[in-house]
Amino acid sequence: MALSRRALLLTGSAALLAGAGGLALWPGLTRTPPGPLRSLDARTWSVLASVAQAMCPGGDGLPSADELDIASALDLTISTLHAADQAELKQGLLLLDNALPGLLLDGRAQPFSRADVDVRAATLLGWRTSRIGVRRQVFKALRGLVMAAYWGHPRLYAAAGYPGPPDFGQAQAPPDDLLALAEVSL
Amino acid sequence: MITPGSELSADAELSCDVCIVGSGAGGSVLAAGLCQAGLDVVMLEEGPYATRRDFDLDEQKAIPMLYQDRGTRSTADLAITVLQGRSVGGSTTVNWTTCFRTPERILEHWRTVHRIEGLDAASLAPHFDEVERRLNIAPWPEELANPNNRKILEGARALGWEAGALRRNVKGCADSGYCGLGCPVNGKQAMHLTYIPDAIAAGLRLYSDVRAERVESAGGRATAVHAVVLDRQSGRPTERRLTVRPKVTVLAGGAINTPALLLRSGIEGQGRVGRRTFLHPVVGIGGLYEEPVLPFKGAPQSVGSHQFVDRGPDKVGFFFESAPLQPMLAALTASLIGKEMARFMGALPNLGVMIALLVDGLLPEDDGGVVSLRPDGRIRLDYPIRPFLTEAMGSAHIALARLTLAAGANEALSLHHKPRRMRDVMSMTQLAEAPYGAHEHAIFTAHQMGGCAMGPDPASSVVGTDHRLHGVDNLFVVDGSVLPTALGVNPSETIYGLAHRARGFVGEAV
Repeated sequence: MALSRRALLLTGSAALLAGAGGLALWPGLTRTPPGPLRSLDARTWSVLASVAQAMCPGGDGLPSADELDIASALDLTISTLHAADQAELKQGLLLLDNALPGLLLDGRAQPFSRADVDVRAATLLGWRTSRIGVRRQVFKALRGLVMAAYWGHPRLYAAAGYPGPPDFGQAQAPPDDLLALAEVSL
Repeated sequence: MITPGSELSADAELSCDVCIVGSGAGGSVLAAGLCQAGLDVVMLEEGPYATRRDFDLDEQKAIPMLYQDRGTRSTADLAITVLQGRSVGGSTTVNWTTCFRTPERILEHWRTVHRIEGLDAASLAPHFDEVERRLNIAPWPEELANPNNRKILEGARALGWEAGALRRNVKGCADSGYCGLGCPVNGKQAMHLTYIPDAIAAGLRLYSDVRAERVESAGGRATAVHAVVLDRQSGRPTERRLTVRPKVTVLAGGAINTPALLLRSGIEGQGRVGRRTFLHPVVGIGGLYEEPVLPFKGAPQSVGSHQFVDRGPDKVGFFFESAPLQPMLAALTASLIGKEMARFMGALPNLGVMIALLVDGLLPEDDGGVVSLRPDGRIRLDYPIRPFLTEAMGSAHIALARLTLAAGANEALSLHHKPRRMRDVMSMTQLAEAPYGAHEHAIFTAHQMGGCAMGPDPASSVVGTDHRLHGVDNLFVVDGSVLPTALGVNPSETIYGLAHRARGFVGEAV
């Protein structure tokens, strides 16, 4: 994730940034994390969960992102990123959820995380090809994280026709003997 | 001896003949030669020492463990996903094993355009001969090609295009298809199984989980490498410091990381450090086949085609290979969400992806990307996709779609945000009219090159043809960052060969 503040300032417009604070005017969260968080706060976790569910709604025999608690898995993943990357990711989530630019630019009157799943999916697809660079970046970053966590999950292997990783017994193999591997010894 | 940083119980200071930063294709080949010549060498590697016992082939575990930025490295605009290794062995731990000698036309380009003397096929041959022997580099028999790769052969033969078997650095390969997640059977002859053991047997001291933060220099000489121990789980710096005071320092952290280390050290090479960074930008086309091709199984790359690698002096050439698709990587190749994505993934067993790698850096106006530092110290990679690249991306898409359909696919599928689906030659007009470039379709890079370009003139290059940094007597760069252009072939063997050649230059400097 390399969404820079400079990029936000240059392409996000003042309204987008100013509106980030306006988010707090909308009380409550649509989702609450099931356990302690490591990198996100309750609000950004909630937005991420609403993104994941819109991207991976399940059905037709597939589990949904909510069922797999993808947002909590990503909270752990994000906690291992550079602190500045974490901050920018949270900034992107707040930008996406923000009602004010959503109203001004998209005609969406409520925060992203409160919209119906179809509206959220349509919003995300709009961001995918948006003329605003920072929106495309937010989409790309969030999609990559969500899809990696979801389609990399063992519960999805069968749906992808993937038998899962083969077992070569490598975990039980003896440690590599570096001197035996070497062609030279002194 | 390999010492994880976590075993350092106190800050430490070491002296040695040579400190090598980075344990990948460049650093390891160099280290073995220097150690065998009797030099005292310390090597620093920011990634972990991971072996087959750690390679459980679970993408969700392997990619954060073995790739830069825990698998999230990308260009600043997020348009290009950067796959680059990060463990003992560097990218050789996770590459797809494809090996080529540096093409003669590229060496000739370097001689005529970049005035690099002494790098020709004949003078490099003994170095390539030796690394090919040590790494068991040999063609992968056509009859063993997995269906995903065989499609390139079938399509090319139907079209009358050139294609052939690729050479791989394997011994006892299990044909698993998981090269990108660490070889589970020690079949891939990666650095941690070859040149690093050779170096260790001859006395190398290798510290893993230790990141070089800065090279200290004074009076035109590098005097120390200041490093920090990383926490293996989080990848974050700890309080523990390691300082190395060598006679000679060699940077071998690879393109992107080596220029960044120089910049962190205040060494800018007249503004050349970080410039001319090349990526072999990759675009792909999916093929949906009637029969399963199981793209997650079998040697990932065993067939390639260089039919369009040279499209004349005014156009960017490209070459074709295939890509393995385990589910997580497959998911990242598309831009879809929701049910459309579920349909894409549901077809995975019958989906093959052929890729085109664009040969950047050869046109006079192509100066590639730029590595720089953000104010908070993070690395920034800018890579503008200029019109000559978008033209090549469009042409590559059309050629890939033709190849895919000629190989018998029911449908060729572009990786655009709005995928184009082609069932016959007539439908190719969709690709001719489609947009190309940043955020229009998936773009990857697995080959990072340049940023510390080699050349005789300090005004236009960073290191000399002996790999020595212009203006710093005892500081060398021995990795893919010295390449003055992209190669038009997978770069690992070029780096092995150059590192083998650099043994003499570095040894003489001690």
